[in-house]
Amino acid sequence: MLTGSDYRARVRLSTKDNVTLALPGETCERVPAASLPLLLVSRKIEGIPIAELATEATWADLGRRDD
Amino acid sequence: MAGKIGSASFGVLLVDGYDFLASKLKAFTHKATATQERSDGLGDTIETMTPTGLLKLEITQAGAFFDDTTNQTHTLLATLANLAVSRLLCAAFAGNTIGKPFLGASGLYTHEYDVLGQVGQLTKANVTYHVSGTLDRGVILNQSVAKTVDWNTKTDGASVDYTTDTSQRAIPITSNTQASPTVITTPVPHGLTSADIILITGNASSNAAINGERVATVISTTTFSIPVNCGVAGGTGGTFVRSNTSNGGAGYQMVSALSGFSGFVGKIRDSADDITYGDLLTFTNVTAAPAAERLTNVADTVVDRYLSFNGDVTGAGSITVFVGFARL
Repeated sequence: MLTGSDYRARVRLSTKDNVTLALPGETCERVPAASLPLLLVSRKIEGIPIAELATEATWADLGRRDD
Repeated sequence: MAGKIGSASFGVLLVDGYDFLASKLKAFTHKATATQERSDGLGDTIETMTPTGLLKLEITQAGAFFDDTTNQTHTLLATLANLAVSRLLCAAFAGNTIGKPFLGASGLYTHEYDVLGQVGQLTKANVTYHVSGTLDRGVILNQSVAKTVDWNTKTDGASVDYTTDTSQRAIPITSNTQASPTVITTPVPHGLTSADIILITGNASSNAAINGERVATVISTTTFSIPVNCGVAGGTGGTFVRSNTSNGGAGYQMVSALSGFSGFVGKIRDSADDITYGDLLTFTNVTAAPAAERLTNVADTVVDRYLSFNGDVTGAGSITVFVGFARL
């Protein structure tokens, strides 16, 4: 199962009622996990590079940058 | 006569947002021609023609009655300078209904208007419309009816499903192999590229069902694999249609009436699973009618199975919008 936080939107993603789930560049936590594989096939989302994820994890481990 | 289309089905004819549909219509024709250019030269013994890649669309309304309603044919004809410029045209010959086919044309526009006589306030005429340029064939995403609030064709219960599009060819399946992944053979070129999604129906005998939506990996022009383990037994038969396309598309939006609203933004969205949608095309904010716009995606854009149209209005009023989308 894919995880939304590992991917970011390339276009605005929304529910069928047009409620925004992710804007371009945002991560996909709010996107239903079941939708992620097909969104990947249709290039509406892309994987976040591992280096970028590692950096994010480091900052998360250390707490907020301005703490 | 189910499935037959007659002139009574001719539901929409819009040119740059002007509503050109006759008040009463006796006959309607449309003809698309691929234009060619002479390419023989001095010394050649035969005349040769080369396709230019451009299409010419000709639409006629014969024995039709017209009146002088605002934003209809007389309004446009009032200015002679309007008769030979680049315009957008949309026609729907199978009814003004979401999911039905439409023709969109963009290019140099002219029309001939032969008055046959007048009956009271109506003018009877034979009219021929010519557009030389780009011709798109697609489906109606939003029928031309008045709206007074924001709307969404998906939540209205009318999203368009590409797998039920009658213009699609169903490709027969000869067999699928006993293997993992199983390899499908077709008797005719399948026309797929890797990562295309297809919908298979009617296949039998495989130990694991291959029917349903699958992602194809192309091996040759008549073979491709899908990620299903048929290691115990292969199968035969069935057909498939495409669930998505990967060459972008062209969207047409025609606003034929607008009153009260200070703005309107239309948006076409697509979805592979009918759950999560992505923005496909967003039209420019419209503040007055008539208005028309044609937008295209970049060439390699994937257009998914389900399409819906979203209309966002600002203020209070009424608007009539027609939207069609053609996969390229």
